[in-house]
This record gives sequence, C-alpha cells and structure tokens, in this order.
Amino acid sequence: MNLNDLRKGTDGITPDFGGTLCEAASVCLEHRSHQSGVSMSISGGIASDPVALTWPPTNDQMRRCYEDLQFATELGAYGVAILVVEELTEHTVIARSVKGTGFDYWLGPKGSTAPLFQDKSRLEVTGILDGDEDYLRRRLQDKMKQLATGGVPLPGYGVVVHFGNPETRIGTSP
Amino acid sequence: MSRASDLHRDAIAAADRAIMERLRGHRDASATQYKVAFLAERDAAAEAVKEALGEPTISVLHRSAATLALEAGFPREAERLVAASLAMDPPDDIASELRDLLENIYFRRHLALRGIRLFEGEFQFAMTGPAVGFGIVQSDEYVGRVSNLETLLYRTAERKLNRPYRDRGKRRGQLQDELAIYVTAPRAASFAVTFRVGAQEQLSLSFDKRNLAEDVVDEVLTCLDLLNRGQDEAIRERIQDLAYYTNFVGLAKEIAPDGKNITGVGFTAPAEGIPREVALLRRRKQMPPPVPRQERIERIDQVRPLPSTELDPARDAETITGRLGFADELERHNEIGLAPDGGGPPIRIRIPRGLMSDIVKPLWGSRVSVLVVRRGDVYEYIDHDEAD
Repeated sequence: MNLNDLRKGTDGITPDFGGTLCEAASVCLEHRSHQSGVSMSISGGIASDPVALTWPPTNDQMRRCYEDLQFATELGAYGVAILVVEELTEHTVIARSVKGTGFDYWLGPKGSTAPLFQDKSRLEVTGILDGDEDYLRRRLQDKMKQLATGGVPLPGYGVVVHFGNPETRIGTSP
Repeated sequence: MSRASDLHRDAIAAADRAIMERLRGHRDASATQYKVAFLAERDAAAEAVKEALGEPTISVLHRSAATLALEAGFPREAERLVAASLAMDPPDDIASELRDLLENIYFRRHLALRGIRLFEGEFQFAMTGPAVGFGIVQSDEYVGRVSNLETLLYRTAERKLNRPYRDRGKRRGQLQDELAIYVTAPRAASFAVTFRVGAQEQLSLSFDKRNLAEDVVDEVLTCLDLLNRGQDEAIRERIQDLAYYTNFVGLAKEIAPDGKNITGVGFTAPAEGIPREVALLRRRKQMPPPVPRQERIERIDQVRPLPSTELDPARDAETITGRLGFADELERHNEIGLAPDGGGPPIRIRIPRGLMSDIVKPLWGSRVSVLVVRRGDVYEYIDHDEAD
C-alpha cells in the first residue's frame, strides 16, 4: 500500500489535497521512527493480512510544514484510512464538507452519480501517534458511537490509525 | 452537475488552499482563502435549498458554510446559517452538530475583542457558562481562575528564565518586582478581563534580546492550546522539567472549565493580522493527571513490581475521599494528611514536586477525592478532584 497513490485523488479529493494527506502521514510515520515498507496490521470489522506501507522520503521542509503534529496526525490518519477503505471495500471518498478545523468525509459506491451528500455514508477517522491497546479501543468506540447516531442508509466506517505501532483498526456501522 | 455542486467544489478547493496556507504558517493568506471558501459554500447552501436537493445535503452545506464563516471571522454569518438550517428539518446527527457549532460560535463571540485593543504582552481572558451572567459571575469561579492564571504566568516566566523550580518561599522580591502583572476591571457578558504582563527592560534585554513578557504570554497560550487539543505528549516534550510540567498541568486543570458552572475559558492575544484565539473547552476531568503516565507507572512499580505490560495506573490506583489537612510542615513538607469520610486515622499522602504550594495548599480544609496508590504506610498521589 503506497501513500503516494493518494496523489491520484478520488472523486472527492483533489490530487493536490491527496498529496497533503500523503505528506502528513509520511511525517507522522517517520516521527515515530518508521521506515518506508513498515508492516501495518489491519484489524477490526474488515480485517486483512498485514500490508507493507510505503511512502516517498520526507525532507526538512515537509517536517517544518507539519510541525503541528496533532494536525498532521489528523490529516495523515485520513490519508491511510482512505487508502485502506479504497483497497478493501467497494467504497470511495465521493465528497467532503468542512467540519471543525478539518473535513468531514463522505463515502459512496465507486462511480456513484447521486448529487452531493445524498445516499452517502460517513467516514469517521481518528489518528494516534502513540497509545496502548486500551486507548486504541476507546477511540474506536467513540467513533462508532458517532456513527451510530447517523441513521445513514449505507454502512459507515469508523477507523483508528495508530502511527506508533502501525495499525489500522476498522469498525463498520450498522 | 448542479450549480450547488459546482459552488461546493469551489468552496472545498479554497478550503484546501486555506489549510495548506495554514500549514505553511501563512495566517493572512489562510484567512483570505477561508473567506473565499465561505462565500462559495454559503451560495452552495442557498442553491441546494432552491434546487430542493433534500437532506442531508442542505444541512451539511449549511454546517460547512457556517464553519467556514467562523474560520473566516464572520461569527454573525455563522450564526445565521446555523439558525436557518436548524429551522428546516436536518437529520438528528447533523442537528446535534449544528447545536455544538452554535455553542462554539457563541463562545467565539466572547473571545472577540469588541473595540478593545491589545498590545504586546497583553491578553484577554474570558469565561462562559451558567455561572457567568451579564457583568456578574460566581466569585469563586472567577477569583480562583484569575489567581491560578497569575501563578501560571509567573511559573512560566521562571521556567523560561531557566530558574530551578521553586518548591517553597514567596516569589515576591524575586520575580514579582521583575515581571509585573496587572489585570483590568472585568467587562460584561463573558466577564472578560485583560492581563498585562510587563517585564523590566534590563531583564528583557538579558533574555536573548527578546521580550520576556511576550514570550511568557506566547508560551502559556501555546501550552494551553496543546492541552486543549489533547496533545499531552507534546507538552511533556516542551516542558522537560518534571516539577514544572506537573505544576503546569495542575494549574491548567484548575483554570479549565468544569463543564457545569463554566463551559469554556478562552484567551485572545495580539498577533500579526488576526488576533490569536485559544479556546480551552476540554473539561478538567478529560485532562490527564498532573503526574505523567510514565511516572505514574514508575510510582506503582515501586509499590508492587509487575511486568511493565501489566501495569495499569487506572486499575492499580484507588480513590479516597476525605478532608484535606496539614501534615507536619517541618518534618514532612511533601506530605499531606487526609481524614477519610468513613472515619479512622488520617492517611498520609505524598505529593509530587510541582503541586504542593500552588495547587494542594489552597485546598487545605476542603473535601477532596484523591487518586492514590498505596505504598506501605504512605499513599502516592496521582490526581485529585474537589468532592463538594
């Protein structure tokens, strides 16, 4: 799984913004002393075998740009989650809306023609730089609670991306 | 593709640019892009209504436009958009998010300076919540926070000046003459006050040619911002001295909202272009204990050695509620006594450096719940909360 693929964009993500997500995720992984090719486990509702996660090397300019690691973690987690969802499901990011200091991501079947947010489900993602199993589990529970109140027609995905001990844990709702 | 879709695409493209400018540290350019994004998203929301695109599209676009309005510095526009959407028929989850956004909008109104001009070394402190009325506030909510904020400013100045953590003794005669802190009379509505921090010229010049007062204000706001966003590790990395770190978290928890009487505290400081706003909305119960996790594990480990994977501060600690009293000040200056609610002899609790004089002593005589781990006859402190 290559983070650089985010630069291709999706229906709801421009190649430029995909590049931002790729850079943010790369900075977070290198901040946690990982090298391109690190094994990332995928667990939860749509578990699969571990994947080798690769990315182009970062540089000082990138590290300075993503100095706000909390923000970088949020962006990077979305980058990893989008790749995993694209790879393992029939869904893709079709649309985004602005929420808080970032975006709300909306998924739909690949090739969907429904307008804007109609017939879409939400992708709820959180990223953590470090934390134990209990913390990871609680963060996923929080995301699943958020999805449970949605009442959307398609299954939603709650995803936690752990950059410290690379893992993507996925929950599906309903 | 509908006109609403086209406008929305333009809005998101501008929001992308705003985020990228923000990452590059270009605050003005980011604000400009947020304004472009807001105007496009507002029109997209209006078009979605006209085109009858239905829910959740209409409410999502309104929420998105309102969020962008807030980022662009148009809180009144944000309020109008949220109100318009709530007046229609949004899905439950979006309605809930719109209400949360409305609370944020109202809090940001409190942080707005409203004709007040701040200078370097100054910042505005504001509170909001049920305990705050128009020009009136429950005195303990106000006095305690202002006092703790003043202490935090002095402690930060001492840290920035590389002075060792001062466990005991008054700061008067040491720092107070060198770094003067003034507070204006409170203003109405959010009970906002202006703190002015002034450093002696001689001290400022000795401080790497930078102004100590500005540096202290900047440091306090940066650390509070990190704490609000849950970047607890980043604070630990920033405040290397354990006593100063413990003191910072302890004081910040006293200043933070309790979620009942006070729901938000915020800070506004002058900055190039748009004033810097830091909203501290994380409740004190959601904040980490003053004793960092690794030190908590080490404290527990000393008590009952276990493989490190089995150590769990939450499981191995216990909460004891009672009235806080004096320990022997001369013999055991880092210990307190707690008379437990159920009766029995007072228990001795050892307090880590950084907490005793600023955070624990003011609680003497109060009923508190203390999170501790037992170590023979003495308990090791981890965290506390007022019980009354």
